[in-house]
Amino acid sequence: MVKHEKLSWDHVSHLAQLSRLDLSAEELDRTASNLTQVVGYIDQLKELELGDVSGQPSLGVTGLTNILASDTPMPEDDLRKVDTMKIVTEAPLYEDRLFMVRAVFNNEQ
Amino acid sequence: MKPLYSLTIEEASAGLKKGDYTSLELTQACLDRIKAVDPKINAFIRVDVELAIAQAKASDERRKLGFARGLLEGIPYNLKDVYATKDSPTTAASHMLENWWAPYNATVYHKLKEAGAVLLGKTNTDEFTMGSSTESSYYGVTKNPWDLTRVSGGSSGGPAASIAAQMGLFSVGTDTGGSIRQPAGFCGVTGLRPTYGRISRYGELAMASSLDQTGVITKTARDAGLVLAVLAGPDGLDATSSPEKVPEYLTKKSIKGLKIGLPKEYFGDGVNKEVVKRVKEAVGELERLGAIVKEVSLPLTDSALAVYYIICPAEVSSNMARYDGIHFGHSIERRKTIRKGELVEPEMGEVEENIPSLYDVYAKSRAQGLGSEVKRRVMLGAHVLSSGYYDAYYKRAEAVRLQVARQYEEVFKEVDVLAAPTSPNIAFKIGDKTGDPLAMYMEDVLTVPLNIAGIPGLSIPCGLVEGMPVGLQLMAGRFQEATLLNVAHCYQLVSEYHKEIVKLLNG
Repeated sequence: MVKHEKLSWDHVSHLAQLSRLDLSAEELDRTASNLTQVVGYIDQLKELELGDVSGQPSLGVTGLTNILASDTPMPEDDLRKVDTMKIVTEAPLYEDRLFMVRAVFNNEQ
Repeated sequence: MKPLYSLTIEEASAGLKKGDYTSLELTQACLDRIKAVDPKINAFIRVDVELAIAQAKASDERRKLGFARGLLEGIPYNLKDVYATKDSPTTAASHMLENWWAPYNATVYHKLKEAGAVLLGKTNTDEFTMGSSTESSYYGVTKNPWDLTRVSGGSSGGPAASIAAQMGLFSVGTDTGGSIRQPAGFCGVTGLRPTYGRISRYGELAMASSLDQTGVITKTARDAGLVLAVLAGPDGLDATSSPEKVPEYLTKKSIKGLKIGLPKEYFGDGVNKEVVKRVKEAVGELERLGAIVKEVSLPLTDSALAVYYIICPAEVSSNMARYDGIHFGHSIERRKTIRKGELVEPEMGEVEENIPSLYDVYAKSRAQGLGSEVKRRVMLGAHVLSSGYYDAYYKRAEAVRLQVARQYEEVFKEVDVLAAPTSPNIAFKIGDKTGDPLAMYMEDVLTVPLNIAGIPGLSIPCGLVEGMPVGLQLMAGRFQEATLLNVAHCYQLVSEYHKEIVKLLNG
């Protein structure tokens, strides 16, 4: 395994932001070390001789195509049917049948 | 007479039919067993006594009236806590979903309910099934019933330990990278992961959608076939479930002339020599039963783990996006908090009074609600999918994945099944690998390739090393579960390892 330079603080902070995770400095540091190790491991694929893989399709694990649902409502008594009101009331903030959220931008922006 | 909790499904089903005992008696025996044994093991996140008793009574009532529904009628089982159930909370062993009540039933639970089976409770797993030891569970580690200082494996450690310690007659769990086979191997029970798409994933909390598959943990291969027959089949609610015909799983055929391949990469340097010895002895047993054994090669085996730890985190990062602090689960917006399972007013400091923007709701709720392994995988996923890295990691991993699958296809032209160890070693000590994610990931090296290719596999006990069970892993081509189960059954007819009782718990 190739010894890798530790992923930079900036890069790992960026990943945390992309992931919507507000991490402490200590958590970020530990994650940087862990990820560096794992990235070092998965980098072995770069050395694998594969020939030209551009244009190669990804593997469809089922081999299935165009699965369409039948256009009929689920029976009311089927307990797999999703209860819409129950979904809404699971949210911390809601009004009628709507989820409530904070402003997307704060004042400084 | 054997205690009721120690019966196989086949035995119990026959006894119920004959009227030797009722489902209520059988269920009560399991509940008593859980009460006596589980405080030492921690296999269950939640035991639903009232629900179990109600379902058992309903089953007895149906039987009395002549409406018994089949072989699973009245049989007590448990579900890994990643299936949505309206009757009981679903946590995925995460703080994020503590006390979450799903608004619908998973198809798996729906089918088992329809079949008359009795749900005892929900069992432990690594958080959102991410791990190989249940040590990432928010509810604590599940200990191995064979040695309480060792892990039960993972992520289905709860299900596997519950069957090894006889707390239920079967368990249903998921296997994304080995999560059924590895813990089944570590706990000395039978664990089957079917072909991708064989069982509906509707209502199963997703980890990595192109790899996840439901399977079963049981005491015998026959029992596994019996449960699979109930669960398998297409489902309009899961577009990835396969329309492939569900065959007869309880076959009893001779394995004379059956070709078994030993993939040499599975017996390499990293695998414990004693484990290899037990597995080869088991293969020798199959040879005596008439199977033809030959060595084969799957050169990409080592690369499969790297492929897995790119594709899995990539899919994790998308699947975990739904835990956003807005819709359900843990949120800094929630004015009430959960303490010891009770909904109570939060104390100062638990609620952020100053929430500047939507981003903070996401980022703070997720940071509090998700554990470190989940965070790690989400961020690794963001890394391999981010612009500039996508081609080098994700795209390349998909290309290698295709080649791994083709290698299996090629080898199954030569042999009917593959035999190998389930894991490179016996169950490790609790805490041994928690600080080292890569060492934990290496645990999956022999189970992951199968998931990459989407083919079925199972693990059955085939001996002991240092007093701990060793798993024999059998693999076959797509939808060849019947072949796997038949080979496993033939082995279990001549072997006693699946009958080994955990001595520790039985004095």
